[in-house]
Amino acid sequence: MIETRLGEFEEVILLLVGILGEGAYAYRIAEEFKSQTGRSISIGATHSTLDRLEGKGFLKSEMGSATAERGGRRKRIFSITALGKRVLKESRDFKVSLWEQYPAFKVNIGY
Amino acid sequence: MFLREDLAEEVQGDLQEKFYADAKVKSELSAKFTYWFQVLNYLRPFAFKKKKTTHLNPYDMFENYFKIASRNLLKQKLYSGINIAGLTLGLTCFMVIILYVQHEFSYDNFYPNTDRIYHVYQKQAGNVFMGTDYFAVTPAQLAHVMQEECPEVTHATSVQQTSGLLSHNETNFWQEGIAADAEFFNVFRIPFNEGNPQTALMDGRSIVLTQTLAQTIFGDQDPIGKAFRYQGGEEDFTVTGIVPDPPANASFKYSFVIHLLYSKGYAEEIKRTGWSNNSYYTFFELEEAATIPALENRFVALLKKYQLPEDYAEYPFKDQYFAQSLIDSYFQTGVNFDLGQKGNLKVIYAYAAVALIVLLLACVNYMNLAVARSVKRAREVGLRKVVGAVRQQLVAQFLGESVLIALFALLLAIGLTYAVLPYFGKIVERPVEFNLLSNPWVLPGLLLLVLGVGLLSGSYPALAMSALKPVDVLKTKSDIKISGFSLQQFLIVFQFVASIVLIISSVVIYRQLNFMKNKELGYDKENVVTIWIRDRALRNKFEILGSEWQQHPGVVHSTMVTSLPADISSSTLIKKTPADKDQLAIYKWSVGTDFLNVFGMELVAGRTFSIEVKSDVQQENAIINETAARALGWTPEEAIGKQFERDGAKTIIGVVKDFHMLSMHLPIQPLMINYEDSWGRFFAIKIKPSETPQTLSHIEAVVKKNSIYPFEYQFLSDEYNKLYNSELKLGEVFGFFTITSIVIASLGLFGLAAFTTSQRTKEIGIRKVLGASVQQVVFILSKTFAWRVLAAFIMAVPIGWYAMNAWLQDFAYRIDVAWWIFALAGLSAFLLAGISIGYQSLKASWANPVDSLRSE
Repeated sequence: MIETRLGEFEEVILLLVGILGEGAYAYRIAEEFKSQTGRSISIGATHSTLDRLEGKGFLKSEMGSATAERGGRRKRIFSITALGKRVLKESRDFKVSLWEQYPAFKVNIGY
Repeated sequence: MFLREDLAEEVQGDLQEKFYADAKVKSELSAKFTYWFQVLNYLRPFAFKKKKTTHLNPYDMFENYFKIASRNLLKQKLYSGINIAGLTLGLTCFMVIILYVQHEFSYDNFYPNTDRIYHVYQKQAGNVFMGTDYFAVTPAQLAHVMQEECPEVTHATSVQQTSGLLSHNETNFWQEGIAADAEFFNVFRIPFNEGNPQTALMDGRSIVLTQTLAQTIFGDQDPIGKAFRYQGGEEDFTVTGIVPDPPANASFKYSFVIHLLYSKGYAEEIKRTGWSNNSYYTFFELEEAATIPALENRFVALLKKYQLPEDYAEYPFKDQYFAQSLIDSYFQTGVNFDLGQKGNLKVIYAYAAVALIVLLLACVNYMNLAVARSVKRAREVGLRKVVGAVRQQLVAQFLGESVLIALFALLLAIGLTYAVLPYFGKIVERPVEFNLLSNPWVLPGLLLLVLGVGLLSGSYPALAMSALKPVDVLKTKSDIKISGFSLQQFLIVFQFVASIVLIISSVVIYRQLNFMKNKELGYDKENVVTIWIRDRALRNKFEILGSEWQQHPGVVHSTMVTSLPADISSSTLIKKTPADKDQLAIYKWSVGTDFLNVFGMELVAGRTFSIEVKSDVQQENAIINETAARALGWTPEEAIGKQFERDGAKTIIGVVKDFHMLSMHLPIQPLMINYEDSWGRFFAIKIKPSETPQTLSHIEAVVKKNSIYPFEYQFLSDEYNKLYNSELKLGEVFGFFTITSIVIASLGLFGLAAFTTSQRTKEIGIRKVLGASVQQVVFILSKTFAWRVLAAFIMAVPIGWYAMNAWLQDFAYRIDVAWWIFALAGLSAFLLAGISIGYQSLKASWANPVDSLRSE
């Protein structure tokens, strides 16, 4: 069975991959996560999530170029697949629809 | 690195990048620390190297394991046979005993309110009768008073056992039943098949039948409302209800329940004031929240209130009432006159202990042999490894094989248990059911045990042998030596200790039984026919019956007595003079004139009763036994003509030689014998040993002519043997266990001897080449085993001696545990060991050394 649902952390990582575009590899994503959320995270944890998302088919990856500070080692660049994009959109729509049903905040939602 | 290969490059890259980024802003130490922290954070399942599991075709491999397993079993038929047989035997023993114990503990658990049913007992401190001062009987009024005055009691009922003749349309049925008051079915809440439990025993003329009895009498007709005659009386009893037959685990069974009021005795008793006549069982249902100690306190007050001063003025013993739950009272054996079947906890525990030992022996044996056997397969292991087997596979194979064999033994044992159980049930006289599922722990427990045994016995070969280097195993031709034998040797000793103890026990039990059977009893139990008098009308016809019996030449003497001499169960108190404070508890026996001749008893002094002597007939005279004379302070000769007090003065006219009037558990007690011509419970007839069948049919014809009751007789010797029923059972069961354990121990020894001998073939070959004789070789091979058996013997002797002495303490008359019993047990153990080892040793020493040595 392929797991197709998206966890909160997974969703953030997926979005970060989209934001970073060509620069989306494990270390950068972990750094970006820290700067965006203020929460610190290990590279390993990020990598494991990326691996999982790839397994679910929301991400694809390829080996990129090497840089000097990496000791000449290549990076693995992740990018969002079409399925990944759809899942992100569904997740947002779902939450928006929930917000709209929530009376206390209904008024404040302006868009 | 633990990382998956395809991940290694990028991850290391990431980590290094992070390290240098950190190194710019933080100290080097902190950067290094972060680096390793990140590394540790990669310890996640996704990142690990995946094991390469490429099972090409696992099913073929499994098939091969099965094949090899079965080939191995077949190749070593002897070993496998011994191995499986031993374990099967042990498991069977254990299961049989488990089922038996389960049955024993299930007694009376079928009432919906079982845990609230209690039985009232009383203790009359000091009034020791048949070795105990507890009594199961209480006054008739107690049940009624308890229900009225004790808030702890919801219902209470008086119960008596009865047996009687049910007559319907000229057909008579002799049946065992229960007489009880109207509350009976409120305490024993039995669901009725027909009728209403509330109204079934409303009056003294109603009767409730069991399903089977109703079927026998009425067939398919509706029994409700049908009329009966009881005990040949004139009044009609009406069937008011049908209950299911009491199940096999009911401690008291019955085929009908009749109201106590059927007898005038109860009707009078219940109206009487004062509580002195103890002849009814009282059962009650406890209020749900109530406690027994609170109720027992109330008993004290009740006794004070209802017992009249005259009840105990004459009687020096104070009553004290107790309540015991129905379930517990099944195991209550030290009580006089108790109702129904009893279980003996001591015996149950003894059986269970022995069964456990036998099981342990079998398991130990199984492991011993399995380990020994597997060593032969070193070469197979080597070859498998060369061909490419991984260690785990070998472990799995050995464990699997061993577990499979153990499971096979379990299956066999279940089948065997099923076959053996009915015979065992006969020995212990219990309808033990083959029901392994009734207790949810039994089957899983056994499975677990067998799995454990399989795993344990498989673990040595599995772990030790799978570690062998194929080169070592394959290149040398000689067998490898295995270590860890000290444990096996210890186990052998343990097996022999158990066997020798069991042999000692069996011999002692057998000898004690024999001793009791053949002991000089003081009377002659052979050729005496006894008839329990069911038809009370016959009591008054004894003179007619007696003279008619005598017409047959086979009949020598006849008499009527209140109890049989093997089991005189009535006692009273006497004084030397009316003013005497000291009372003597004395057993009481009422007899007809001819009793001395019928039972072959002897007078030491004085004369016996005669119908011609008026004072004899009027019960003014008595005969006592030697013990009574001694207790009263007279020699037999002095006693003649002396008087004692018991309902008026009695004159002693004779002293009878002491005879065993109780079972051998109890010493001979003082006894008084008085004449009685109209109240007896047994006819006893001495017959000639020849032509017994004709004599018996003559006796039967005479009885049949005078009574509609069915005729039944017992020989006195059989009645005597019944006293030792539980010992007989114990003897049989112990014999059975002894044989089993000996067989298992011998099997184990045989297997182990075969194994060690085969390990030493080369040594033997060399010894023979160098000039050793056959005897010398046999001696060398047997020596070590002989030492073990000797050690076992030395350990077994004190255990056996202690256990058997403890058992014999229960008998007032007993054998000594003689030294030769131990010698016999030791000798037989040696003999068995000799036979087990001897064959192997001889085979080894006869073998031509060329065969064993040529290969190197």
